[in-house]
Amino acid sequence: MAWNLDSDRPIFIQILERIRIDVISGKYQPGEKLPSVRELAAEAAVNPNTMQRAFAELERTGLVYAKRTSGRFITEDQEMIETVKSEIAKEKIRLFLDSMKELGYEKEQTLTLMRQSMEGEKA
Amino acid sequence: MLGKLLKQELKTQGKTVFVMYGVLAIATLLTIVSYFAGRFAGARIFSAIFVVVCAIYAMTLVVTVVANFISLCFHFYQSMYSAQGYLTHTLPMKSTQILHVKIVAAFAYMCLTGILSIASFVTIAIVVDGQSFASFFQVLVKAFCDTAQELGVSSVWFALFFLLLFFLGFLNALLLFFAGSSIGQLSHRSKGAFGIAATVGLYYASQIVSLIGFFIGSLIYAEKFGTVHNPAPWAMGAGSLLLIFWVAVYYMICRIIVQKHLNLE
Amino acid sequence: MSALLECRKLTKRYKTKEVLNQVNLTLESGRMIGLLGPNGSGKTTLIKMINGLLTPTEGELLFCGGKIGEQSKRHISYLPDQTYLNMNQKVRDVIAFFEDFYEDFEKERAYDMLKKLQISADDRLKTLSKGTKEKVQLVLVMSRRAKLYVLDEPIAGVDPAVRDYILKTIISNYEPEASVLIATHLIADIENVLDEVVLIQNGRVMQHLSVDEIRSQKGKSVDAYFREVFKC
Repeated sequence: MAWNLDSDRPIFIQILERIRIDVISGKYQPGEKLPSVRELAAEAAVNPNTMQRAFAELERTGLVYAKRTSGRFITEDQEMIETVKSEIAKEKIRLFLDSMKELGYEKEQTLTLMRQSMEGEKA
Repeated sequence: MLGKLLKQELKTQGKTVFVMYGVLAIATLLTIVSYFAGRFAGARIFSAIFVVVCAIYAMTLVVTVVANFISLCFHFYQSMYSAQGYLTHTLPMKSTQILHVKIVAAFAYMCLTGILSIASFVTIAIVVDGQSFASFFQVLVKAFCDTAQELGVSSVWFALFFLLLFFLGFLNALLLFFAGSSIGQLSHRSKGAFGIAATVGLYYASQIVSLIGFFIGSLIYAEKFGTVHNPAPWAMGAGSLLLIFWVAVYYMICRIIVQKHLNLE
Repeated sequence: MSALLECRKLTKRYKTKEVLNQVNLTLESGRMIGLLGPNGSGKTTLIKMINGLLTPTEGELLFCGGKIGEQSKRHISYLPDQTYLNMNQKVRDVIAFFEDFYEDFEKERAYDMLKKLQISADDRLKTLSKGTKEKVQLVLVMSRRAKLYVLDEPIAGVDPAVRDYILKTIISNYEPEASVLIATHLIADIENVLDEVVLIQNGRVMQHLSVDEIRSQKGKSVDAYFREVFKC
């Protein structure tokens, strides 16, 4: 099944996000081998050049490393994975806070609303 | 590559062509069988059947030749200028090579049809009445040689001339239709109708031009040579040249159109 | 190194109409290029010229620096938008034919694809449904290791599942030395697969951009951008 990608944002960025989340969520285990560019591009139904660029960026940031002929592997560096996880979380929170601000809520109000809905969930 | 296309072409066309040859063969056999049935059974009815079978055979013979010709022309159009043309013209070959292969294959099958038709007819004639056919054939050959002598040409040349007429005639007819359909595909709308019109037009043009040419030629000949020389070999030569000329004209039409004016829709 | 495909002032004129007008275009290897334009914009005319089925009235069309002819046809694999095979043949026969004439044809790949599509090689083409015939034609085209694949409306007229399969096949076939030129008006389905797009209208190339440019600089999908450019 082709990945669900937005049509108005560059695909390259969306692929990076998706793979990062897959690593954090454990879909790709540390040290696991990534599918080849072509395979993953076919699965996602995206241009292989774009997939290649995403892989190159992942390598650059260290989330993925390449073993010369055997392909690309997820890093085993747990610390790095945690860093990426918290970076993504922080980004999501930033976006959330922005949208709350758009609705007209101040930071304190937002916190209150959050506590309420979390307690509601517990019950 | 050329050989491959020729093989493919002969194979594809062969399927239709050999079915027709099969029909002809069956018709020939039936005629022979009904003749013998008539001979040995003796009853009048069998002779009547034989006559009917002969009529059917004659029709089959004509149909085989005509149908073959039509099938060859149609296949040319289909593989060159209709949907299949996309396949034909994207093969890694020169367009002239493709044209040559098509012409050679069609000509080969047409000649084969001609030869087999004659063979079939002769076979029946020999079987039915070998003796009189042999003597009839002898009379024919003698008349042929006498005519040749009267005209002042050797019988060999005369025979060659007729052979040339026979085979070139096939080539001429095929190329006329090929050229007509090549012109036809230039049109945007009704390629078929335009093709037929072009074929008819070419035919008329060739006949008229040939007649004029012949007329002028004979006038010049009469002026220059009067009655001193024998006109027959000149006439034969002119006729052959004319046939070859038109074959060349039709070929050039096909060639130019295929190379520069392909209009596949 | 010469570009894969180069058009210089390419013009095609019929008696009253100019179907292609002074087209200048350069395509490089290793790209997936979309040729996008409304009906009658000249897409099919350009494609037919690339394949040697039409000759230009003016201008030049060069493939790897050479003219269109026997050599270019060796390395260009073309999928027309109609069926063009001899319907009386079996699938097996067509594959044998392609193997015979095209050096770069890979028979095993073709049979592999047919198996995945559940098409029997012993079926006669005329007994197949329209969609299946199109799949067969696609298999034939993609089984060649060509330098340029030219696909004219490969996904129009087929159901979404087949569409997915066709796109997957095109992607899996990708080589850095080859390019794929896809002419289509179904932009939304295909834009994730494209590197660049050529927008063509009334026989003129309006724009030649990368998809990333459109998405990041103009902030919209290629489909939306197309609608904007070709607004009626």
